[in-house]
Amino acid sequence: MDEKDSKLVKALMKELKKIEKPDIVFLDTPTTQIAKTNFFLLNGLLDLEDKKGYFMTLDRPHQNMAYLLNNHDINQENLWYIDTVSHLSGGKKVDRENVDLVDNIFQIEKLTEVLKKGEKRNDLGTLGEIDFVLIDNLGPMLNYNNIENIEDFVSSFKELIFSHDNLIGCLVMDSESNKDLDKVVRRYVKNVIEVKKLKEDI
Amino acid sequence: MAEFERLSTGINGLDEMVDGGFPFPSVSLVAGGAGTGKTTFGLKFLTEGAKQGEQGLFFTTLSEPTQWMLRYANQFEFIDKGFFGDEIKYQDIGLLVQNEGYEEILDFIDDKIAEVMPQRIVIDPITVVAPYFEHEYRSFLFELINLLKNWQAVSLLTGEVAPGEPYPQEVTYAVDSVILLSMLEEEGSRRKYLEVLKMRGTDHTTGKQPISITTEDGIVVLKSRF
Repeated sequence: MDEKDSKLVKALMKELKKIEKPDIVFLDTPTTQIAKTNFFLLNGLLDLEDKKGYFMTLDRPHQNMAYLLNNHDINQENLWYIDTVSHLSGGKKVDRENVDLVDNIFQIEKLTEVLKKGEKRNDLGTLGEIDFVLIDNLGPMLNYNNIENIEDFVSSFKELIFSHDNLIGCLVMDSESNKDLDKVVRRYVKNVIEVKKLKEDI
Repeated sequence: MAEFERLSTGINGLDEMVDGGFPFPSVSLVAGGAGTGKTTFGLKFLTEGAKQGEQGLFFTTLSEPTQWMLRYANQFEFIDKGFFGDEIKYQDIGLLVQNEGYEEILDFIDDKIAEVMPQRIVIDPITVVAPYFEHEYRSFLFELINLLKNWQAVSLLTGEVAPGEPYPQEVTYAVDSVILLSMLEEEGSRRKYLEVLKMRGTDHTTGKQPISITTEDGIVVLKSRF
């Protein structure tokens, strides 16, 4: 990571700290920067802020983020992966100790239930004991689900987050590439961080 | 359905042929014989990304040091030397290809991508790897292309076309797009062409399009001028 990247991580953390828990935040990010934004968020939350959380992957297999964090010496002890795409990705399947591999990608409305479950996660903490839930890129969900089902998910995700005083829920997506979905998300989320603008302002 | 995000190819006239650019993320092959412009294509693609604030990563399998590549690249006016080492990282994997097994090479590529986090990747040329792995070449390609597909980037592999062969068949079966560069002898002179053989999810122009390679712009698709 160069100096600009480090500044962006700090700027993202500063924006997140402004949000009073419980709440959800939409990080509007250009598609080409979504992987980096997720990495920066996890870097800041785990490394700088010493937080605990779940990372639900809807776009890329969790192995890529695990590899990325490991490559940059970021401790993943306080992170639990919920991977919905590995079974479709054709890559190497690694059943790590801190991951639930699930296959509900065609039934996004059921993913909130998945977030509530997972006995293995007790080592890290239940939803009542962690600090954040990060959802990786809602956009590709339109490949597998209709927009009404995605709206159901966003609605139930918001309900879930608001039922725990300790939680921040983060949704990452590119509004430009997903205009219809953007309207849906903004109906449920009042906090929006424009990552491109944040980067430009650094 | 979500629409594909596309990254401009950087090649004048090509974006119009392929719905605006390469789907993001995707893996493409740019194949052609010697002197058809494969490396120029890769450099222009990375330069275009650098201008847009996208990180590029160039792997060479030829054991060429950066200054050697830049020596030739400098003839092109579109090359901004300031990009190299910053927006465009250059990585020689020639010695690895010659001395290591394919799993070590894949691990190295994976590590480098994780370190740099690029949106645009070029591996130039991939076909030079074939003689080192013999029977494992297909497995190497399959794993490499899978590895690239799981990173959030547009990756270009360049490939040398052997005489009498239409394109490097081992590579084409696994990639999302194939662009052929060719040089044909016509009326006593050699003319260069570009053809989009396949691009998944794209309503692309078919057939050979004449191109020129200029110092100012690199590869230019001439049809777009008419």
